[in-house]
Amino acid sequence: MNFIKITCLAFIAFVSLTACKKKTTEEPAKAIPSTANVDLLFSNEVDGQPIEFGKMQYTNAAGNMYQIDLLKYYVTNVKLVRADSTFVSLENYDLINAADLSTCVINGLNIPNGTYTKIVFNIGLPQDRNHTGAQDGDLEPAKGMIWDWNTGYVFFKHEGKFKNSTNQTKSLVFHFATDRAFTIVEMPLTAPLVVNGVDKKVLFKFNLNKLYTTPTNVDFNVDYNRQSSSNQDFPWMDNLKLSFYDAFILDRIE
Amino acid sequence: MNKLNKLIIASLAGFCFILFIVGCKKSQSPDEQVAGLTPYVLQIPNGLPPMDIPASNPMTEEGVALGKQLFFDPILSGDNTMSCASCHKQSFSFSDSSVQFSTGIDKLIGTRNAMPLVNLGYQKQFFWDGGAADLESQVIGPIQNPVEMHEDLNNVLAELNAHPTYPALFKRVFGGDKIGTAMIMKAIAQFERTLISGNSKYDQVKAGTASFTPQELRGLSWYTDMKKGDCAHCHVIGSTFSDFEYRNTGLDSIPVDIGRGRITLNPTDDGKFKTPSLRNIALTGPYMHDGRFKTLEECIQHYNIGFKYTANLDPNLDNIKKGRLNPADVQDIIAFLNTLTDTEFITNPKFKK
Ligand code: HEC
Ligand code: HEC
Repeated sequence: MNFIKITCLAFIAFVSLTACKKKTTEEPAKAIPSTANVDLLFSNEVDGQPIEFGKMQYTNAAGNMYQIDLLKYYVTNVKLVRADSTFVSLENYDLINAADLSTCVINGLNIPNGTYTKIVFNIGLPQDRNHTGAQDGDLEPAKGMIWDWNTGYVFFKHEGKFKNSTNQTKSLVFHFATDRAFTIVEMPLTAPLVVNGVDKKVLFKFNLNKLYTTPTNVDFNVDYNRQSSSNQDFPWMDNLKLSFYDAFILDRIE
Repeated sequence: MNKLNKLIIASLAGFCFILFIVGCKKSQSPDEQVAGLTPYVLQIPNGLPPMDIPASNPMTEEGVALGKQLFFDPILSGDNTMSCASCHKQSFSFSDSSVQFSTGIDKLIGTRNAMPLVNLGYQKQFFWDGGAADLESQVIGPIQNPVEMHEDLNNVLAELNAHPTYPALFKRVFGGDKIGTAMIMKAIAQFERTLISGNSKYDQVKAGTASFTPQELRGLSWYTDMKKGDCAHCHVIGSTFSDFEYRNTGLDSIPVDIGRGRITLNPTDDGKFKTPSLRNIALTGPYMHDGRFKTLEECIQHYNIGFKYTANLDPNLDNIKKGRLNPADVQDIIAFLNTLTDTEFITNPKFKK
């Protein structure tokens, strides 16, 4: 009887101690981890010049002098795509604020090893995320990117000033919003991103001037206040959608 | 081994198995902690359909109580003088007294008449133009609007997070360590979904506990008669007294406020507004999105003779004869509309501060 009791108690102790131990497969020494972190960095600039806020020092393709007081945009649902079209999705909703470098990086954690030949991301929010404000993180309404009179996020904002044709300083407001504005940007990687257990950085450049060149140069004397709030803004919106393809370029992979 | 030993071993094995199962239970995530709250059971009156509660904002006793506290708290406004209840008063079915346009904290006045807050849980979109895509999202509109509470959300959050009692209340309801805007939106929406009216004379007649006067009965028949009032076409008879569709009722030849068109950016929606519920309508004057009609009589005369043949005019009005209601018919319809007043709703202590 005693023997049985003791064996049972020992058994209980053993089970309770070992039951919760996580399964750890012993990694052979020096083995390569099967994943790595990939950071995407966005460097915002104007034709190679760094962005300095509040300075009337940029010239667009139409020859208008302008300044930048605010530059923000949403980069969401980043996908790292393999040659066979399978992909890894980051399911991220990041607000890039050019004035705050800490926001200009998107962290891709534990990306499986492999060769990725394309990066795809959205400018703005897909419909299922765009029509409620009760959201957190970079979608927190206090971030100031949501409309409260027509529920939806502004996908891209450039606010500033420009010199008009009679050399007066005028306000510049570009707010790119509504489902119509939702833009998917595809970036083929000429040199593929190879993830092999070592953390990587993918560096993009965003050239603001390129937004105002497709398909024809935007003259700020004509377009200086576009807020996606009437059907008269549609041509400007449709052009901006196309322009985003040109505005992002892959700088390098480290 | 005797039977007893077998029994002991079997029960010990069972015990080990239980240990194994419970020993591995994960520590609670914030969502699971919230499960310790009391679910709020909505009391839906007989005449109303079940209400869809969004899965992302389940109702709890604690959440509703927090939402109610916020609804009555001027902390949400720029100078801490104005609450939601300043413009949405229970005695007027949660609309603003008899003013056409409410005055905000900066003494600026708006351009639209404050809406009653009744049976909101049956609606999908909010404001006269449906611009708020859900009840939660509506909440930040008045807080930020310069002609209303004119407050920056970052200030609201800073004030609430520094408040002596709110942080603990929010944490209890939503978990997390900091109050975020989404929590304010969810709590207020939970409270708003409890503002249910379904005990008017109309409901009592339907339940068989009261009966219409002959005039009220005539009013009901004009209300539904497609050659007379034709009201039921849009303010559907029965539970919610609206289908909540957007329509142009011909208030102006050229709309001053383009209404729904501002939301869809589609010019064929210009001059369209959400068809409002007519519950408690006797209490919520003046009427229409801009409060242009002081009385129900003026309102009904608009449908009878006043409406303009404007672009986008609703086809039901386009095709109906003007002057089809005589003055007695109009009075009958008013008598019927008065049966939609629910005094229990406007005196219910559950909705008081
Ligand atoms: C200054 C007056 C004022 C204050 C304060 C105010 N509202 Fe309103 N409310 C209005 C007006 C005016 C409208 C109609 C606005 C429109 O259609 O553009 C409205 C509309 C609404 C609606 C839409 C109802 C429907 O059927 O579509 C809801 C819900 C609402 N308010 C809730 C609130 C809440 C919650 C607060 C506090 C956070 C609040 N209101 C504060 C004046 C006010
Ligand atoms: C074609 C659809 C339609 C018909 C028919 C119709 N209504 Fe309306 N009703 C509306 C719409 C839309 C509004 C909001 C209009 C606005 O504010 O611009 C409204 C507003 C009202 C209001 C003001 C509500 C408020 O909260 O201010 C009252 C009262 C009203 N209707 C009563 C009636 C009556 C009574 C009838 C029948 C004689 C009727 N309606 C017929 C669509 C209709």
